[in-house]
Amino acid sequence: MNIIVCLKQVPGTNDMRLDPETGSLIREGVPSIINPEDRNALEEALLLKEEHGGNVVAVSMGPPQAEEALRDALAMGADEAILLCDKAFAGSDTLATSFTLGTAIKKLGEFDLILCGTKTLDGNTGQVGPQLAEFLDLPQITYARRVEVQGEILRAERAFEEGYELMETRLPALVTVTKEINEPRIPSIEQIMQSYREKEVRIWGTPDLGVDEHSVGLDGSATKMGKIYKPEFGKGKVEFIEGSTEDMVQGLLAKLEERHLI
Amino acid sequence: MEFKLTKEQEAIRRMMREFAERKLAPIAAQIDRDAKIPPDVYPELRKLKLFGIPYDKKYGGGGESYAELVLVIEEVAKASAAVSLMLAGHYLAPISLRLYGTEEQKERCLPKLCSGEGIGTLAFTESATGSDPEAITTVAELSGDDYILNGSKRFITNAPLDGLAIIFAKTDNGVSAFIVNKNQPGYSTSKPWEMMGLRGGQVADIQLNDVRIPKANLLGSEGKGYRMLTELIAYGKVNVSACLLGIGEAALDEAIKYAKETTARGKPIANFQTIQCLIADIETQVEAARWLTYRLAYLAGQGGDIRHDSALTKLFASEMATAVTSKALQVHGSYGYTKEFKIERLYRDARFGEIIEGVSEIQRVIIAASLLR
Repeated sequence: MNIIVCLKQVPGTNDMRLDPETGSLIREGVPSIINPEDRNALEEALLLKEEHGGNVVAVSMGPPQAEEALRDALAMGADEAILLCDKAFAGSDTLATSFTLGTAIKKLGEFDLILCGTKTLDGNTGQVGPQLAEFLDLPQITYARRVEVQGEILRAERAFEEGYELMETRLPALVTVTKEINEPRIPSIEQIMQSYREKEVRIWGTPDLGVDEHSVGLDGSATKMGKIYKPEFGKGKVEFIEGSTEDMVQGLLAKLEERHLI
Repeated sequence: MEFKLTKEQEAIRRMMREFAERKLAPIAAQIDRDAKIPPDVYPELRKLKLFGIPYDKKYGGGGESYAELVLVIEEVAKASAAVSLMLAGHYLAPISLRLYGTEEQKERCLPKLCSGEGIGTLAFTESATGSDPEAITTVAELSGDDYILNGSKRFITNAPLDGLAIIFAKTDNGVSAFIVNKNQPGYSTSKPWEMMGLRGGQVADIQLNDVRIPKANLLGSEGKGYRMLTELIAYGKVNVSACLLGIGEAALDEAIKYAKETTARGKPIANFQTIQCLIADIETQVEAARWLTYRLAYLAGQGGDIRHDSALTKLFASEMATAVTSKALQVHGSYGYTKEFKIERLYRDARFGEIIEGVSEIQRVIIAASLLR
């Protein structure tokens, strides 16, 4: 099986801090990691490769330091790694990101499966996987917590709030995975050193992808971020709603509607 | 002059931190409570090839340097000082072989140690002494083509764990060192000592009753054992310093976390200068210990005599660990004195640092000796 894994390097913390002036994430002093669910995607790719044979290519779009994330992927067992790195890619929204990733994947040639994490720690949109599938005209299954492949058929358990669905699709396809799907392996020191000393991370920019600079990055984005801010929490006020159960329910509903919360 | 890790070293630290947080931190309190490292931890460490990092690949080692080893032990110690003690104690055996072993001894003994299938041990200390070769009472008598060892050793890290021990015993012309398989007849251990901290590290007494070993298991030359010990212990202090650095970092993390999360008069106690001063002191000392330890790892990789620098580094790192865990406990107030908070364990774990591999007073003697001769 030829599997492509899309992964992103993200700040390795749940304590995201914003620059109050620019509204952007403060990354200095914060260690960077492979987005956790992307690591699950990579682990799933490696498990499928161990079962069915084949090749795993890790692809990431990011600044030069994202190469570290791809080296980690190579250490885990990916066969190849490609970093999409170009100043023109800066400011990409999820649409521009999926366009850039999709263009790179088309250049790679034939594949059986694309695996991605469902969402990232920093952006948290969950949009890139589905947008990428649409760009590449692939069937997609999202929020997969279990995947199995038999021949050209992929079956997955897709999680949703009340339980899970059993889905089936023909390959090639795109699947986004959740952290429940597996526990990613940790490479040995030898594997880490080999990833730096013996393996190559290919770096592609706009010329390699054959795209115009205006079709990617900020110019290629359909959405633009207006502002990111942390909401201020003021001192709360407790209000008791009294009466019968019915009165309390109706009273609560009215308050929620009043505040446009429902 | 560069003071940063290479990209490979950053990657190793990243991966080791994840391993420690995922596999060791969740069971660290249990290890402390039960005074035992669960058996399934060892295969995990073997899978990552953590038992032979700086040794030649032809002997099954990783072929890397002491810098990588120190980073590994540091991250392990942050999660579980007991597991880091086991690793630090283990490494005394392969370093002995690397420095003094014949090619035959290295080929015979290093692969099992480097793979982690055998856990290493170094046994010098006895009930009467931890540092004085004149007070050693364990003897090795030459009998034909064998030596026969009789005696006992005290407070020996990893003594009960299957593998290989480097045991110091008196021969006709002084103290000598011998390679002993821990599963051979005559070698037995006591129940591990019930320790204040580093619980889970298997520190026990060794009893040697007519332990017969071939002459080929003499390490180095007869009578040169004490000189060998002072040199190889210097390498042991590299690893112990890394353990203590990890403990210090964990104490800093706990102090910061507690200060940010705990409020007084509606504000985090991190806003109070008294707390800020404690945390500033902790970080200052931890950072000084960090760069001394990394520098010592660099020197160890260069070869040469590191006895002075290792004494200096270990002295500083051990007193740092004691001091910063105390300050971090102070940040926690009464809660730090309970078993509900990690700092209580760190405080107990740190104290061993000023005793293990030469008490602080001996480190001072070593440092002064090289300055004042």
